[in-house]
Amino acid sequence: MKMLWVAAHLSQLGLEIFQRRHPHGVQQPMVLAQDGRVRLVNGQARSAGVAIGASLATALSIAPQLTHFERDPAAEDERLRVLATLAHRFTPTVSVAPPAALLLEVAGSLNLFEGLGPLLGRLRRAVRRLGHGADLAAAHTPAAALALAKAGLEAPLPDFPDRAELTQRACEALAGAPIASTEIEARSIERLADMGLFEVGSLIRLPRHELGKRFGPGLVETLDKLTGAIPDPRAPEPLRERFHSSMHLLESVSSKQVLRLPMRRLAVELEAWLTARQLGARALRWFFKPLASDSASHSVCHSTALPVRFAQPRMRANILLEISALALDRIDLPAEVMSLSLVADIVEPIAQTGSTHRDLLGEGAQAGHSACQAPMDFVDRVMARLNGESVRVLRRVDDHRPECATALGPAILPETTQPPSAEPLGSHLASHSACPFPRPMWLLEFPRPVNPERYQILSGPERIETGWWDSPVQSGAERRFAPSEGGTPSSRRNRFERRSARGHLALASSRGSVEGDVSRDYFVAVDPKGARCWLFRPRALDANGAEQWYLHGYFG
Amino acid sequence: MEQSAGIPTGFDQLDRLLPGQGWPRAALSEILCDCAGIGELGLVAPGLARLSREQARWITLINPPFMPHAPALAAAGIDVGKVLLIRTGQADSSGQEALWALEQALESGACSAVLAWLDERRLRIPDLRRMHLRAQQGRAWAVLFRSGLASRNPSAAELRLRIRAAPAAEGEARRLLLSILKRRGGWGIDDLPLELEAGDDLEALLRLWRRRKKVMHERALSRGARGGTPRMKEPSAGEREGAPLA
Repeated sequence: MKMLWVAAHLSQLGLEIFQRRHPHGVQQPMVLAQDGRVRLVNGQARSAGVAIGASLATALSIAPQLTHFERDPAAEDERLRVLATLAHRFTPTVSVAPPAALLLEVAGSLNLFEGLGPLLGRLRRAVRRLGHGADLAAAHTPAAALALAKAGLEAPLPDFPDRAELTQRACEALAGAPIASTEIEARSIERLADMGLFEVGSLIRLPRHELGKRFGPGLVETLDKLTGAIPDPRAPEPLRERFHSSMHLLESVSSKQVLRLPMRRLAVELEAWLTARQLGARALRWFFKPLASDSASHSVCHSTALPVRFAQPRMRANILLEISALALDRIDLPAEVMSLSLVADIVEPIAQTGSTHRDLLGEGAQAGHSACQAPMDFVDRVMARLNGESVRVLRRVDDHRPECATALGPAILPETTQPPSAEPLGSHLASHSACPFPRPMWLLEFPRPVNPERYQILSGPERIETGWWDSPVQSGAERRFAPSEGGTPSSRRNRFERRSARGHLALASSRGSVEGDVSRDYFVAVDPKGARCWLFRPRALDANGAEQWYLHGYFG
Repeated sequence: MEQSAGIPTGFDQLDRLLPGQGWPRAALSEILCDCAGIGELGLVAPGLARLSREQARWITLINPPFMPHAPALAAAGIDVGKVLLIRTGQADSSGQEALWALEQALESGACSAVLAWLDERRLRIPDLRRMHLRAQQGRAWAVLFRSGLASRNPSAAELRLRIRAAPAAEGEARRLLLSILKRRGGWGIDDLPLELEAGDDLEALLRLWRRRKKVMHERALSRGARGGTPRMKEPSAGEREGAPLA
């Protein structure tokens, strides 16, 4: 089978995991040290004159403002595995080559990404977006690709290389690679160097049998894997089922504005994970942990949670972040945030519509705001800034009680499939002949007691006598009309009082609208200001035995 | 449909007076009325009905004074599933949230029409200008309902109307007196009487329905009399009058 391996070598990984945790951008020189020696330097440190291999004391004397970190192999390994998950968008076969490389078998993905060149470009951009720099190389075997990537050599390959061409070009490039960049064990590399052998090319030309006798069978096997003479199976890295990522900041942050940058890093990771799995997030939770609980890092109780919900599955980091930021404005954070984490609670397969279909890498999102955003972006944004209850879609319910005929549902995308009907307004009315009586466009949520003498009755009465099935003892009415309530605390309180005051029909209906058994006479009337109103008179008399009229709506 | 043409208002006299023969499609309009409920929704309902049939975008109501009644909206031809209700509630004492929601609604391009009732005290001229720009940007028909007092202040709205209720008796159509305070390409107009069709139609329909029931009832009675099986007593005049409406 034709194989094409791409290796991504993250030479600065050890330092980058610390840069990622920095709340601001990195300006000062930083170095990574191990056993008192400088292992990695960033650009600023290099230009200050700090060299790799220098002792830490020397480096500090050259650049006093230097920040140094002790190497953390466990964190590097974990980060590498995270990146492996994220590389799954390019191919299902991703494996990890510690300490700092990823291997991708991409032969099956070339057609989708329109060739090797574009694929490498996209991979490089994706890795850079997550805050890492990578040297990439392609070859016919994983070991060769890895050696080339480590050496910083790249074989010139066409976009769709055939097997012979690939092998030839890779071997040519490999000949110039240093032996130190291969997976040969360090002791052998040293001995080969003592013998004057530095390049892979000169090693490959030596007779295998004698090499095996001198250095053991391990070296021969490694060389055979390098050239593809024997198979080199690599354990694929599984794709994570759930997304959870956290970040422990190097400095505490007290401003929401500054928090945006670390939040963006997590959101970008989430986007990469969602893209790899072709999912969209419906609900996220951010956690912000304060400085104090730092020592007892396992106490979750101190962290502030920020749940964010979306009206439709979301994939793009920009919109995830924008809506999260709106929600963030509403809550109070701990004074000093030391670490933050992001969990994707509900994920759903994303609909394969137009723009997302071919856009596997999120280039569309980077193009900025288009003139017309998706209708749900607006809903999500308003829901995040206000609260979920304040944005609702009207729904019609078949119920003769006027207060029950309108329900408020969650904002769901309006059906677009309905063809625009050409029928005029009149036919709409005719089709609605089930109820020939006039209905007002405005309804008062709580009918208001009025004096009928001030109104001029135009038509009526129309008797509405229904709802006996929602008898007061059942809680069914409560359950059923819960969504129709606006959800404001006052209306909820009213509902409760109403429930406790059952039996007094007039009292109940003056307070609120949801009362089971309804028996009223409705009239159309004109009020002194000239507005057309909808009045009703309950059939039952009120507590004093008098007749009380109520205003229930305006014809608007 | 080209963008310059307006949304037909559903009232021929009004269409003739408005540039583009209808409501401006991507601009801010103001409707000034002193008390809610006199017919402001009836005035815009035919336009909304047309938009909800033509477009898949939302029709957004921001902080309406009362609860919209879905059966009545549906009867006016508005697709209720596209009506989005935003209520900012008591938490928004400064009115800023409502203003923000309005601008988002207009700017996003996700709404074909946005109807807003804002806190008059917080409304500044730059806000109105921004609303107008956002409405152009999002190609939305923005309607701001304000009190009649606002007519004294200048506004960036492209169209300003003031409506008053006209006296009406039983059986008569609901009538509005509409003044155009500001429009493009023309002077203002005072007190144009306008018959609200939606309400009128319903009442007419009701009358029609009563008449039809009466006719059918009479027909049934006469058939009974002619058929030679007089099981039913010939109704007296009083009964015939009272029966259909029972």
